[in-house]
Amino acid sequence: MEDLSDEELVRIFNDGDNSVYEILFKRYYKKVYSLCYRFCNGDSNLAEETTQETFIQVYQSLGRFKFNSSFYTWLYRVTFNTCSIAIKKAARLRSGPIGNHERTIQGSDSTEPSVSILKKEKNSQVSQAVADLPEDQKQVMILGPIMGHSYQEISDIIGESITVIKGRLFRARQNFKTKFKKLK
Amino acid sequence: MSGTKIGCDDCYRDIYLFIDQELSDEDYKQFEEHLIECDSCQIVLNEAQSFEQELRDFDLTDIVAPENGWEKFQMKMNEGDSLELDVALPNYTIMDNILNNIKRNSLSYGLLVASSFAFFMMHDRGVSNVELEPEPIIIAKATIDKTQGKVEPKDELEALSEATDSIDVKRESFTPSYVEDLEVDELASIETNHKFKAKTSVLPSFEKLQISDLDLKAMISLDEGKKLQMDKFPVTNKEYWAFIQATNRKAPFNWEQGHYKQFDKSGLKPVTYVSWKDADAYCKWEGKSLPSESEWMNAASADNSPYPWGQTFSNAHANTAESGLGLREIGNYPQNVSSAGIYEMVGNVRQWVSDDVVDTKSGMNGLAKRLKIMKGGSFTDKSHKSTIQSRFIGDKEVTFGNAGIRCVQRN
Repeated sequence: MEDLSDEELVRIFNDGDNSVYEILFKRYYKKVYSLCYRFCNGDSNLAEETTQETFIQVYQSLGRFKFNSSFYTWLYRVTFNTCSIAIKKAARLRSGPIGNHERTIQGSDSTEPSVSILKKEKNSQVSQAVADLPEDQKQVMILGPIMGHSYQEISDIIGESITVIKGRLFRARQNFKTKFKKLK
Repeated sequence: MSGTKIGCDDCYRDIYLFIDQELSDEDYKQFEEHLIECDSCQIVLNEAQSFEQELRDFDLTDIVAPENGWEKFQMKMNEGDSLELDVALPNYTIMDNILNNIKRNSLSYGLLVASSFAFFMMHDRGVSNVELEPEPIIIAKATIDKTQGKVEPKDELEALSEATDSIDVKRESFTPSYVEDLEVDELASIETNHKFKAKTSVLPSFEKLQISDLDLKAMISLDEGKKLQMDKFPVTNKEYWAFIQATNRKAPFNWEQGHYKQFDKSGLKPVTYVSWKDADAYCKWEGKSLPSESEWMNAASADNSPYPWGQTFSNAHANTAESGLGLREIGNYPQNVSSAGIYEMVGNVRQWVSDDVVDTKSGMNGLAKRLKIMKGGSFTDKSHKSTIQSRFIGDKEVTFGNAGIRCVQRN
């Protein structure tokens, strides 16, 4: 069963076997969490909450999934929506943008610390540069260059036209370059 | 910019479309032609691709998701309770949501099935194979729940549901070809021991190939005199690890602490995050070399068809973006074999070939010889981009998470 594609699993789910949801959940849990983590500027509590919320949302509406887009595009769209709402709400309540860009480096007992630290150091610079982008540019950067989605998919996920995505990505990348060079 | 030759300005404007493979075939070709002739644009591309590399390397796996995600999810579903969020989310419950849908009269049968399962799961963890009976029961029980003083759904929820709805309406006419493929009757008869009716939804259970060390080493002769032989499978992490041990070369980016074990227990996934230079060095270390593009294409198909097995694609044949399965171990696609007997030429992982990007028409070679070609498409490429004829261009010093190695031996 683990070998089946998303779409096949969705069909099975909609045919009445809800146990396959576990496979879909586990297949995408980390990805959705990562996405939430990035969207929430590294607020791990909020990321966990939005992740769970996303999967509940998806569980409920899977019956309405009509295979017009791929499952993961749709899943990420729900993730995106859930995060957008959560971020707006959090910002309203805390009267300020969420996340303090703190990088909680979840350390592993590395036998080769130097490699790992170097990698994390570099990652934190990228992370900082991405987090400093305006919200809309940050979103396309995360979905596009970092996660590797096509323009069509990004357009489906955040609900803007491809032309808008193109322009926004271009500006985001230019912006990112400048910020990243400064940090280096 | 179709039709006319493009200049450096166009190149600058479209560089990310090029990198993201969002240019039309015609525009892509023109871009390629311009690159061959223009050193400065090659440098710009190199810089841009390096930045892209930084971004891709910005490793998503470095974020550690909280443990027991699934168990927490089940608990939440069982409680049927709203999420305990201090700040963030609309305070609604599953039942509210179902009711909301019922109220809006937008119930399709499929939703009912899903809703009722949500219901069963909430109240009786792990119950499956329940005969779903009449709708009134569900509504009645749901109503009882409704009386337990849950909070009304808020406007955000409406917005969320609507946003989700709108995806369904979009691109109504688009049916991916692989979905159609699945509906062929002959694919339906398998997986009989499931408690549900599989109907048309289950893939044929092709025998997975058992991969031994012999298979990893195996080379297939491409001509009579064994003058040219090619690896039967792409180079795996296991093999690349031996190379790294022997040569002290830098491990691919996605490896943890110099080893692939973290994400590839068996070591049978194709190695990725290797640049053309890495690939070339690996082949030389093995006493082999990278194939040329034409050698590669001849090995993939004798008759110039788009795929090694023939004309039509299904996602049972090869691992492309349609499957959404990510990088997979070799041996999962026994049908993905060319007439010469080479496996998995298309899909799963792109393969570097030796060729510079050259313009055969003008005879002008890539001046800086910076650009190299990748073939075969990968798990991130859609099926129409994963044909034998497709080609991808990358700077030879940049690594890609979807590109690996396949060697040839010339005697």
